Amino acid sequence: MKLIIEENAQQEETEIKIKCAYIDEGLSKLISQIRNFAYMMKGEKDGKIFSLVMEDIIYIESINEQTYLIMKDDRYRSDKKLYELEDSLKMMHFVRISKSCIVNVNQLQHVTPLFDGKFEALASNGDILIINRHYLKMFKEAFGL
Amino acid sequence: MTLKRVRRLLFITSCAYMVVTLSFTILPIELTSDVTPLALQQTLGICIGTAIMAEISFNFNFRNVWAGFICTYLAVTFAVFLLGTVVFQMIPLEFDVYGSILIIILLIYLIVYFVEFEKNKNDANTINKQLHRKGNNEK
Repeated sequence: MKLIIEENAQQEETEIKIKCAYIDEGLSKLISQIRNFAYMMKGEKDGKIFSLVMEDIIYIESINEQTYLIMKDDRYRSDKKLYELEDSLKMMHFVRISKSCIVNVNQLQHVTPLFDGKFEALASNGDILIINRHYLKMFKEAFGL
Repeated sequence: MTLKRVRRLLFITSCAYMVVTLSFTILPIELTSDVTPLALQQTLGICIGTAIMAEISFNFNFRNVWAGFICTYLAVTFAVFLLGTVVFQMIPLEFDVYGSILIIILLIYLIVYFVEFEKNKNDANTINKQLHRKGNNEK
């Protein structure tokens, strides 16, 4: 694969263009990574609004009808509902793992199967997340299984 | 066969029994001497109970692995043993036969339970390999 970077002071917005014969699995992952970096999400903390890079979000969880974006050291509130985010995040590395949680699979360190058919996942911030049986198929599909 | 399929099978079996017993109860079908209207009513009750139990036990979020295993196992036993006994009077109520059937069901259920766990363990290994590869690439 050739990597061409054109630096131009006249360019107003950074543009990434991919030329290929077809999109294979590796390229699809690369596109997904670029989307994660390019797509920003708004999160609120202490009354201030922050723009968050998707790749840095470890997981998104819903508690008492409030949606939270969990980062390595911080958590931000989002005005969107979990089901609204689920569709828009499908193209990126985000997978629904329970009724109340969507996880960034790039931010997982390890998974362990449990005896009751569920999986336990260790996130990069040390949090332990439970992948429910109902969402296990989708989770495995995210890894090509 | 996954546990989800066992549950589906259990639920569908119970529903099928329900349809049969209901039709025998409602329609003027002549019964053989082995099957009495009372036995049919009992069967109907057991079918409804089993279907409800199958749904509850497989959907309940058990904290203890063995509690989940025992409850779902009981649901399977009820469906196979009690329904078979009442509807067709196939299984004589002798202790050794009763015990053998319970052990066979337990063994089959154990195999299904642990085959699924083994499959999940292999999938987890594949996922972990991918995660570690990603981690190394990022480093």
